[in-house]
Amino acid sequence: MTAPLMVIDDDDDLRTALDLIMTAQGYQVAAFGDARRALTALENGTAPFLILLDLMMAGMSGWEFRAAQLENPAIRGIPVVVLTAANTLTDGVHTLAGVEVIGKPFALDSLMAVVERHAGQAGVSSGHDH
Amino acid sequence: MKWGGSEPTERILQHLAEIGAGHCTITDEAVVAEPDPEMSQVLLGLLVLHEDLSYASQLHHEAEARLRAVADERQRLLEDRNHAIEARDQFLAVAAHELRTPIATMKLLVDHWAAILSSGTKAAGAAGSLPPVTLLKRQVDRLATLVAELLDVSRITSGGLQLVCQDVDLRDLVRDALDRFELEIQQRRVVMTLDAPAPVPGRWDAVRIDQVVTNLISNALKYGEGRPVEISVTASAGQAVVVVRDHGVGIPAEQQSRVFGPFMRATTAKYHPGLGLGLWIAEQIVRASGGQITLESRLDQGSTFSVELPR
Repeated sequence: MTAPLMVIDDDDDLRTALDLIMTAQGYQVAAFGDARRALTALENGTAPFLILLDLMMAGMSGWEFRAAQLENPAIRGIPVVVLTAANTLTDGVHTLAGVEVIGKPFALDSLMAVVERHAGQAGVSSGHDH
Repeated sequence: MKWGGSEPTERILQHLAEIGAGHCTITDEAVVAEPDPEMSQVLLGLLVLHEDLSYASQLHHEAEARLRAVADERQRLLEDRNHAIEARDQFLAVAAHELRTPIATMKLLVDHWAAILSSGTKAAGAAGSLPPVTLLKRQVDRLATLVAELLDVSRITSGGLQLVCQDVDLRDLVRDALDRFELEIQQRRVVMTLDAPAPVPGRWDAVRIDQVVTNLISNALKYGEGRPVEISVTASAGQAVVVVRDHGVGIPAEQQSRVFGPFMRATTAKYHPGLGLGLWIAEQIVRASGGQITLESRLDQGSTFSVELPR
């Protein structure tokens, strides 16, 4: 089974667009609007090659998600790319270490370049004919 | 000197020490009763000196108190100003975030469309992967709403909120507003009831009052935890009342005075989408219409917003 691309964003429209576009690009997409549910999915064995993570979310924030991810050795190593529209990378409590950051809005090309690089490193085929 | 010995000198020195410490045991009676006329003169002089000093000291304290009051007021103004600047900066950061989010979605969709279009007919299955136009359209609507809210802020803060009043049936207005939420009400599976037994005619700015009602319904859905929402429209001789009651998260007592403030969200610790301006704008509109908006709420039991409008 191909490792999926995980998308965590509480904005329904952006998440839908990312899901649609990444699926069209040939990736399996596991999209979550709630970071806590995404975390549970990871703990239950979902093993994405990359997580695209929003920061400012209702409920569990991206910072809290990242902190919880780093505490769990089983999922700590999954690479995270932060997609954020916020001006700052700190929420006053957490800072973000070891993640790439893409500011919203971003060009599809630049996002694809990052996703394809991670897919290549993980040996994931997008199943897309280039 | 007829005083003889050191006794008079000691008395004078003792009185001087007292006066220096801010009090005086010489009385008018003691001055009159003093058998030695020179000593009586000296005592009188000391008494006058004490009274002058007391008066000067009182003036000094009053001046100090005034200075302190001015300094306190200045400090308070500085703190108010700093809070206002902080709130505005936070608001600008939130506004930037809220504007960027729909733009991000639009940009992604447009890039994706452009890629599909430029790959021409070769793109196998392209038609199937075309993003729905409704998704793009919704981003335009979101941006338009955000920009309208920002414009309202500048209108209200510059005193330029102009009402265009006309004959309106408030019941129809609320029904129309509810109709626009039909899809969201279905999606959230919320039971929303309208109790409006009779038409409620009056003269108001229909567009602005619709904005108020829309905001209250939207909040009831957003914070109502999926529980029933009851709306009523009633009229008495002098006024019309719209009540929107939800049974959701509620607002803690200490935050209730803040919900109508600009750039404030009752729950500031957590991120909620939106600019957090809706209730502030709503109150400004209701107030400009000569009415008032009130809140009754209990944590975890829900909130009731009542809008009273003069007829």
